[in-house]
Amino acid sequence: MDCQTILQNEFHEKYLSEQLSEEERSEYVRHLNQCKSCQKQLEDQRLFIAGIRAMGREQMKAEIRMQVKEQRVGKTESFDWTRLAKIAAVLFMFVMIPGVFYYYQKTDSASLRLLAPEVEDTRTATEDEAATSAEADQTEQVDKLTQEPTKPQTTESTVSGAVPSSEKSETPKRQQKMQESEEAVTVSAESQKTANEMGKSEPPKASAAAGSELSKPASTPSSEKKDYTIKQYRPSQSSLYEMAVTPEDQGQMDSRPLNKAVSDEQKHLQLKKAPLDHSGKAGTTDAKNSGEREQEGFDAFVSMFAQRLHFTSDGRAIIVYIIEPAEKQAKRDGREFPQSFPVRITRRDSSSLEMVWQLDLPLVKMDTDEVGVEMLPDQIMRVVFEDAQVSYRVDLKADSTSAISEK
Amino acid sequence: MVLGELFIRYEKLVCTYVTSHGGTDSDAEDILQETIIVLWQKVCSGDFELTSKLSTYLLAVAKNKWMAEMRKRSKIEAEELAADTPDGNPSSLDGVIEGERVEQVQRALNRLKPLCKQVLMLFYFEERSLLDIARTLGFANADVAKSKKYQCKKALENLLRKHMPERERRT
Repeated sequence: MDCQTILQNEFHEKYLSEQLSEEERSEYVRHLNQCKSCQKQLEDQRLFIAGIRAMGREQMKAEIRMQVKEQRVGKTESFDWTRLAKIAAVLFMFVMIPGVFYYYQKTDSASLRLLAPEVEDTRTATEDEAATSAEADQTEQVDKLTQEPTKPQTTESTVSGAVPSSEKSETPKRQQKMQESEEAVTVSAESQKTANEMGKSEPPKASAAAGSELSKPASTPSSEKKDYTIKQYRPSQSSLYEMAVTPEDQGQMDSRPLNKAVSDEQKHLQLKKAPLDHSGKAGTTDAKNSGEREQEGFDAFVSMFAQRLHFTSDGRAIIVYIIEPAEKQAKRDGREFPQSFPVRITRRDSSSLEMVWQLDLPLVKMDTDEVGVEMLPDQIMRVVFEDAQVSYRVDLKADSTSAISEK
Repeated sequence: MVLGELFIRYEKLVCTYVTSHGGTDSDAEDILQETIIVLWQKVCSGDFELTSKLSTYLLAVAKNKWMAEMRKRSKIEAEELAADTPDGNPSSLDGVIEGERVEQVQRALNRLKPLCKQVLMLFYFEERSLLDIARTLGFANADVAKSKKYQCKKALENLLRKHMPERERRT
């Protein structure tokens, strides 16, 4: 074996990687011991391979470190999501569920009716039935009271006794409701008694509970009479309130018929003072007559004034009267005021609507300034007098008006 | 991502062994990396057959690696102690020189063409066969791979010869 053979056959490399046969290895070692040049070449080859392997190891270690980092970052992120989900679940268990129970416990019967209409309807029907029977019993007892006014305490005990014994074990809320019904009936009975004393035979006033359902407008027949005290409406400023309906989109509103445009969506109302003269036209203040009206009161003013509700092209509405029921005033004055009355539409075009209704009775006093007009769907307008606690339902299509609620 | 997965899975096993035998966490990390490299080279060589659990195999390799490292450190300490004596021992100096030459080879490798570097790495580091290299790099057959490896090796030797004298002159 000579140096040329060793170089051609890569014996240095094969020796380092132990790929030589036993015979080749012995000959190679024998030559290597005698040849300095081959020893140098073997050393170079060893460093050559060591260098490549060292570089390979460094690259691979870097690759391992990078992969470990990526996987740990990925695991950390997924762990965070899991942890978030756990936290959310714990929050739901300890906050939301008790909150819902608390809400159910603290919500009044009206809200519960919205949440569980079927159950509440059943309960209401049952309670109404019981209340009706109790009312009938109480009416009888009130009649007895009218005949025997010197024994009110006995009547009360009789009224209490009129409640079936089986209902005494019912829930406190239901008992409270029953008690309220009894009180309402008692008030109605007392009102009727007072009316009888005044020589009138009016039907008992509807209870507050029965009349508070705004969502179920019940038109009262126009023939049904009711006592109201009409209070004066701020005559000192000789001005009436102009309520401006603020349209959300003026352009859209103008492009459609007013009734349609207004009734499509409820409008926000702003109360603005606007001077009005006796003819009901905005912006024409009659300063000369203001003092007179203030002195004369509202009676003369309204008696000559046709009640007007005017919608203009920019969505404004003008209302010029307020009524308020007041039993005491009614008792004192003995006046009657219709709960509902016809409305006559005097003008109607694409941009405006004018309705007129006539009050025959004089308005003696009007001390409220809170008025609200709300456009409901299907061209229904609701006029709310907050102080008067009365809502009026104006059907623009049918040209009719009726009271829909009393507080 | 297999290498990283292996590292994470057996990190605790190897770390426990190394730290309980006088090593640090850094030593354990290095030993585990070396162990994974050995496994990788074995798998790439094509003649690897696992006859035990992978964890047992890896722990055995890690033990050998750590024992070799300990011996190496003991030897270095002994040589450093001997170097302090007046007569001295040239073996540690040889180690330094050898380390510098390995670094020279690495620098020369980085100057090679990427294909040449890949051929040499596949053959000498991953210890793949010429046929496997031919398949991996798209050569016609193993002879082409052998020829390419020879050319790349000569190119690397030329680079080493070219830069070695400069360094020797500097030193």
